[in-house]
Amino acid sequence: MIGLVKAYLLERKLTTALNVLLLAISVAMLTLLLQFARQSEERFLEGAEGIDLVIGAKGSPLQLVLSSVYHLDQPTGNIPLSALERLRHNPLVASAIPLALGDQFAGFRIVGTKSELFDLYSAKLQSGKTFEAPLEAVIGSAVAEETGAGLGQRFIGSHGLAENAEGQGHEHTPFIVVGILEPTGKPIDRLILTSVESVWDVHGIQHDHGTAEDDHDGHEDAAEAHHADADHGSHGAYGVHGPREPMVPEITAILLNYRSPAAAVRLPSTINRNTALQAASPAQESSRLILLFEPAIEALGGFAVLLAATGALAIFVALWSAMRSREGDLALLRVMGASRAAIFGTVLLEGVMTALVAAALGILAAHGLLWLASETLHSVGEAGIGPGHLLPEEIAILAGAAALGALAAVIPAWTVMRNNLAPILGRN
Amino acid sequence: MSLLELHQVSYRYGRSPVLRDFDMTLDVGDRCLMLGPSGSGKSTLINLVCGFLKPDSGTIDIAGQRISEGSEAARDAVRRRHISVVFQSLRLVSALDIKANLSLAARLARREVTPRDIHALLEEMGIAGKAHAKPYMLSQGEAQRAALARALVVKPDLLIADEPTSALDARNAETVARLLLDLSHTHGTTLLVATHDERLRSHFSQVIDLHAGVVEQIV
Ligand SMILES: Nc1ncnc2c1ncn2[C@@H]1O[C@H](COP(=O)(O)OP(=O)(O)O)[C@@H](O)[C@H]1O
Ligand SMILES: [Mg+2]
Repeated sequence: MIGLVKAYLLERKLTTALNVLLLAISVAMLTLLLQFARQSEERFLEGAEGIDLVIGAKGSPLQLVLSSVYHLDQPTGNIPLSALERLRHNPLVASAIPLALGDQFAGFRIVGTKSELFDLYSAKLQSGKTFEAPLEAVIGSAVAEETGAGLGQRFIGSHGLAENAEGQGHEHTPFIVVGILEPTGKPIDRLILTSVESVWDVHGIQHDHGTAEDDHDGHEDAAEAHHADADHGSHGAYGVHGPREPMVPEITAILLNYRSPAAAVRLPSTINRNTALQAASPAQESSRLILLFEPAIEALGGFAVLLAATGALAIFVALWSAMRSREGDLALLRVMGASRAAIFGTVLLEGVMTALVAAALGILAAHGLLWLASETLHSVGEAGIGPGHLLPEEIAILAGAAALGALAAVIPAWTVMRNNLAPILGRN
Repeated sequence: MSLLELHQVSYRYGRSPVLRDFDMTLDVGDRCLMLGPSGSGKSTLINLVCGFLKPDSGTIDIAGQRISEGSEAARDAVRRRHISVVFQSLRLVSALDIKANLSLAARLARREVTPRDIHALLEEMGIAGKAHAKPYMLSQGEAQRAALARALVVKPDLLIADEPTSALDARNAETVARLLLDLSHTHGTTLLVATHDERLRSHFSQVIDLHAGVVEQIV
């Protein structure tokens, strides 16, 4: 019977091809959406995997997480260095890594931090060593690839975090690349990492020549009070300085790991309530962000389903008209011994086969497109979106398409099955 | 032994009776011509014999199996086992080539038929060269042979032809009549030909004249 169904489908090549195309487009769209949503969600959650909590200046928690974990948004402001010290000594905290943002090179953020940050993103050095001396820098794999910078390369950072920021360059303090990281598919690929002190040096900020973890007691409490209401707005921490503002050593954010799960309950609320700092959970904020996208994805999904319904309608119309011309054929099959059920099955199979071929093509096309996009479009590849692998939902799409094909075929199949043979056979 | 037996069969479409208390018997090996003008009920009779229609009264048996009663599936099974029909409009499946038309028929009738059997049959019909041709590529004569081959590939006990010659000129009509008779001989098939074509009368020794359900059997 499959042979007969194939023959029927091939007999009307153009109609079949158009029906397949229509349904394939909708399935491809659904698959693309699904893959896109799922992969970006995965990339997002992966990016925040190693980080339990982010501490920064008060403002939007989402902005804080986006700016300091994903390095997408502008920071919420700066915080005093003393905050780092106090958190380090907090028994609930396992590790605290500072971030000092403000400059960029060729669109890549220069981040003053400690080399422990590599571990947070499970990044390893591909070549060279980590930064130690002032103005030494380690670059992420995407930075190396896109700028072509190698070990020993010198570069000058410029103010502001956007690529075309009009900040002036720090000509007198060029960085030197001493290490390159392996690709991770995480935000660290796009970062230029150096010590916090180097960032201060570039901005001419006086600080103790030690490391950020040295004791800084003394002036810090005053600094904290000052910065609590300093309005840095959405500007990069070191992007804008009021001319008379004292240049004190500050950082932009702190990435925390808890010592125990209990910390998740107590630490964020304590910080948010009792200090001028803000604590935000990357896991919470990124799931909030994903929720934000959900309606759009659902709307697009709805559109794709509507398109699939149109495809089903086209299959129905094609089968319906085919049945009129095929009545005689099918009646003859009955004469030759086919049961009514077999006739019904033949027509049903035709609908299901059309839909299945379309769905398979659509899914294939979607993965092909994802692959093509990741190869040719930079932003897609950078976002960590690739051809992806087959998701269980795609099997569901396949099954759904088969059901749709069956649905489209059921009325023509039923009608033909119920046909009275005698009058049809009597026709000449 | 009688292969086909109709006993007191009556059939009407609504209020107009087509057959009334119709009796007819075909023995194995019979070659019978059913002659009657258009509208005399020949096709109705064939539909009854095939089990597509149930008689209002009377019985129809094929090889001792009742096809005038029972479920549709049961009647389908009797037909599948014993009968092949060739229609005036040949109804070759247009999407399939000739060979596939034959193997489909064999599969539907649940007969074991090898590609060699099919080839041999097409050879016998003189259309082996058309095995892979679609029906629309065949001439009228070739298509008729292909339809006959498809009817015979299932090795039926009873071969029924409904108006096999009405669209043909005298010479072709004669050729077809001969072919049917020859094939029924070589394949050992009982033959029933229904037609309004008087030209065929001379070819058959057994003729049933049908005039609005009234029968006059000449042997
Ligand atoms: N499906 C039908 N419904 C009503 N009347 C029919 C139907 N089929 C045939 N008839 C009538 O029954 C009579 C016999 O028809 P038919 O068996 O086709 O005759 P034949 O095949 O000898 O030409 C005709 O009068 C025809 O009009
Ligand atoms: Mg007729």
